[in-house]
Amino acid sequence: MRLILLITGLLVTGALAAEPLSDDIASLKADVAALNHTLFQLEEDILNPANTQVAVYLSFNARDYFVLDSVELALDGHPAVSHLYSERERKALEQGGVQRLYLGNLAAGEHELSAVFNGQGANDHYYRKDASFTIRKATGKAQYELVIDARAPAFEPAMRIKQWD
Amino acid sequence: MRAVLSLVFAATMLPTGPARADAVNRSDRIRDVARYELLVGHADRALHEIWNDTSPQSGMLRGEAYARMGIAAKARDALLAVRSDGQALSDPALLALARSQLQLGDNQAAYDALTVLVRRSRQAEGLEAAYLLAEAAIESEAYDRAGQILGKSPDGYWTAMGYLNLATAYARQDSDTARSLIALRVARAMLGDEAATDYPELLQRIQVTAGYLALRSDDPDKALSFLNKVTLNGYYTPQALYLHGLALARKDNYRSAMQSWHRARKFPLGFPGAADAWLGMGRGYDESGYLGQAGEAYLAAISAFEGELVTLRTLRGQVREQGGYEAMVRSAGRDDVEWFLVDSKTLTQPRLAYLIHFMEHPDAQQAVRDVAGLTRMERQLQRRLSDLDVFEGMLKGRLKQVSHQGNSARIARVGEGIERLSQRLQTLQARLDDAGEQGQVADLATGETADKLARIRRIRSQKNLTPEEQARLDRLEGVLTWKAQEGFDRARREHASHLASISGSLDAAKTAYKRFDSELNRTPERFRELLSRVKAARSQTQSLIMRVESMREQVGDQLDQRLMAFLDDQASQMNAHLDRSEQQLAHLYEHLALNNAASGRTGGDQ
Repeated sequence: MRLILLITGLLVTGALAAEPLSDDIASLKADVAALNHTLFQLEEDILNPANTQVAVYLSFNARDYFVLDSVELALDGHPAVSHLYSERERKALEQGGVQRLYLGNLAAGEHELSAVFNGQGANDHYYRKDASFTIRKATGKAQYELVIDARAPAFEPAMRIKQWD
Repeated sequence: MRAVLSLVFAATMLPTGPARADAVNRSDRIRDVARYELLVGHADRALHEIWNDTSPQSGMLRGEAYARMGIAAKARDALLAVRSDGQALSDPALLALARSQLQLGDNQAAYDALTVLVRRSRQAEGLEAAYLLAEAAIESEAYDRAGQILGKSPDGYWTAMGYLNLATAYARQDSDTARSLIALRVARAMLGDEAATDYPELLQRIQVTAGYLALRSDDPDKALSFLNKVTLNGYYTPQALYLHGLALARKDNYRSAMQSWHRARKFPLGFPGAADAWLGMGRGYDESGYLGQAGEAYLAAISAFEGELVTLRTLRGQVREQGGYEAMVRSAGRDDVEWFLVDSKTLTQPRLAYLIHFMEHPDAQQAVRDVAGLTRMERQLQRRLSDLDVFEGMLKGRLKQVSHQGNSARIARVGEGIERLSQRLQTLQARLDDAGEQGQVADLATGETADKLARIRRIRSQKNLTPEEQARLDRLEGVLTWKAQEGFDRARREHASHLASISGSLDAAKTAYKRFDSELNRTPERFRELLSRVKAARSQTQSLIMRVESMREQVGDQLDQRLMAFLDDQASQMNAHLDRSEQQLAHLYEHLALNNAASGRTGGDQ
């Protein structure tokens, strides 16, 4: 009787183990996603610790007036990052997405953040505009958002900065 | 020493807030960062951004991200959790829930969600929901219900796709093609005026299907009206050209028919319609009475089919040796399946022709997608492992550096320097106070007056002055002291202000020094903690790489089997075409031989 139970148990275990391959793939993907989170976090803690970390984000609020082509960012006069936008990225920004443009390190104190952006205006005019901001890095994470918008009456694209609490 | 001091001073420059920047809430914006990552296709990054956020908005994003990654069970759980908290799901989230439920076989729940979506959304999500509901109705052969669902759906890609599938379903059921052709006309209309540029592949499929059905109902003119609109550089082109030739042949216009078939012959034989066009050429010459050229056309077809059988044998051998993904997908220069819908693919390579033909089936697409996804995953994990190696080395190096005894001595020297500066400041403060209390005007003189008084003191100290010079110096000193007296209060205030500023800087330096000192004490511990996290992550990554490798092997084997079966089937079809060509050629020779014999007899009789 015990043997029969054991065999039945083994058969049930075998049946459970033989899940469809698609389920196994999904489970593996979930584990990789969890590991990716751990690794992203670890990478950030090692490369960009909170006391020196500075992050610059970009959002877009000029959907009907401006087609964003590219952005160049400099910190204290040194080029930090430049980005050329694909159609998909433009749409993501237009739908309210916020792009992490730059993640790096800065010493505490005052710094100059300057940005140049290029693109096509509503009147087929090609714009290349720049903006410069003074930021002050304290001990915690410093997070800034560059906002591109076009305000009445001229609806010319312009850039402003916001700090995240 | 100077570097350490400057570091300490830099840390003291800690202002209270940034200038010229409005403040916004971080957690609100981070969800928008996740939304951006999701929309640009980085579902794993999106998931990371909102990993610990328990808000309903993040729950929806999490569900969508899991759905994009193909983790249906987690997607469904995340989205149902949001709904059970009393929150209404957004349109993209509701669609992700329905798709996940369909994938998990929970069809009724999925249909309920899709019905809600169709009712409330006229956007892309609503259209896709209507398509999925219509598909379900078609599968259960409830064609009228499918028609009703699609009839209420706005124009667009998904509605057109639904009508195309409905037309195909009608064609399978009806001997009369009228219903199918009407559905196809509606499908075409649903794509709008820009169909040729916006949806070229779907438009071609609709035109070719309509052409085929018109031919089936023996209406070559109608077939030509559809087939004439098919472009000459798409996947469906050889099939359309073959059908175009067939329609012309039905009208006894063999000359034009052969022009179409001749064009179709330029495509690799892996494309549907290309092999039929080779046979059509022989038949065309035969029907036109050019029997010699018909024979040549059949011989050319035999040679082409035999060559293609060699190509198929080579491909099968490569699939056996290298695996299907390597032999067919990677060799065709493709790493994923997204290119399948792109219309700029090269249509001249036999390998690519068979691959596209193979990928017509959704299961085949899924099989390739699985292998491609796991291959990408493995590459990504290997890169991660290599990053972790670098981190480990770097952290070990830094740990050694900060644990070095010399650092404490350097930091102590900085502390001593700050202490010395504080003492000097105190001395100066005392001197200022004394000078102020005792009215020592000359001591507090500033600028040019102070310089001149200092020079007078220097000249006096030389002690070899004549009485006249002495008297002049006295007079001059009197004038300067009088001037200094005039600016006494201002100079006292200036000195006090300078000393206060220095005192402020030194206080900040002391605070920063204390913090730096404690940071330095904590650093080895922090590095050790990071090092242990790196080691744990490394071991996790290695174990996942092994799991990914094993899984990739399994799905790779499945893909190989599927590809081999497909190539076998293609070889059988090619053999059938070869047999038919040889039979046609044999008939032709027989016919010629009989004709020759008959004409010989007629000549002999004469």
